[in-house]
Amino acid sequence: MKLHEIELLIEKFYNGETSLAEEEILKDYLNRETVPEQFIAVKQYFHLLQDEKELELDDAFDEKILRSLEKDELQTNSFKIWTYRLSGVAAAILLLIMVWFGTDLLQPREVYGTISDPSLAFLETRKAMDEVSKKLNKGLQPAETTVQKIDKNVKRAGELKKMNQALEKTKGLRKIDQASDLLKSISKVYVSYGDS
Amino acid sequence: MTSEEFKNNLMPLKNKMFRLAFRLLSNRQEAEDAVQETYLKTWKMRNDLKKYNNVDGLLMTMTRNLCLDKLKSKKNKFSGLDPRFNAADSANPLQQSELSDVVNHVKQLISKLPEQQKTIIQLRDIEGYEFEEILNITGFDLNYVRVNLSRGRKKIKEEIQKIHSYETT
Repeated sequence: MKLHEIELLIEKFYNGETSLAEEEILKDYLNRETVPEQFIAVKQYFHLLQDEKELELDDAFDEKILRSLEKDELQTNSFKIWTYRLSGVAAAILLLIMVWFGTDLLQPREVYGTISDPSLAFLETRKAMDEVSKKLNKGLQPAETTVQKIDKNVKRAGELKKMNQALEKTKGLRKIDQASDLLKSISKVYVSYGDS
Repeated sequence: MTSEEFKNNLMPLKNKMFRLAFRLLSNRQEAEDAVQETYLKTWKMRNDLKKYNNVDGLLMTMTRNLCLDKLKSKKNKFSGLDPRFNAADSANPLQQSELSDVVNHVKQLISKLPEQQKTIIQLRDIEGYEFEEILNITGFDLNYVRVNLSRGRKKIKEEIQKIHSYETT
């Protein structure tokens, strides 16, 4: 490659316009033992940056990374396991509570069954009957009060009879009227007799 | 993706990632941490990796973004301090006394370049990425990459020439 071409390539390089392939050509050229004085700076530039590529991490770093990944995996797994476990426990507790209260609610308040002891049966029956009669009485109460009210009103109606009786008594007054009429006619007769 | 596949497909990228992180953070331990964090993130999304046709580029992008975040929080932490405090990170006084050769001088110079130029030179001149891949990783456009590459290369060349002229005279 001619010196002139190299110079052009270097100019292109400093303008950030070379392709990777062109940079490779340049590097190859500059890697020779002797290069013209004016190319020393570029040569050193490449040399220097090549040096930078030797900076590396060792295998211990890989181990560290892989361990931390495993730890992360374990943590997320144990988190999952714990959430599963806890939700299982919560469900079980909920079920227990439901069964507890559920059976309590469903249980009959009084004991049903057959009583073999007659006296006890009698007592139980009477208790039941008492309960029935109590309820019945309670139910009848309004009816009773209504009947009482009716009775009261009927009693008042009885007072009408007294009025009738009183009216009956006023019939005597008519007799007095009749008597007074009679008296008037007698006095008229007397007056006309006196005139004549 | 199993841990075996992870090891075989992704672990070989560790050095590229590490060098980029080191270029940006100028601190070996922090760079290692950044690579580790990137791997952990990748591991968490291992079931979605099939969606990406360029896992190499994805990992490099993630590494770069992580380093930029770290730099941002670092800048906030040390804001107001002389930047030389951070530069001292990369070399102890003993090492610095040995920084007489060109290589180490220029290394220091590179660490002082703007982040974009550092990243682009790292990807192009050290790792040998095609421009297309660099655009993919950085999100820059082609012209921007060329301009910054050119500036970085020229700056380093000038520095080399300067030292060279001292040595020859």
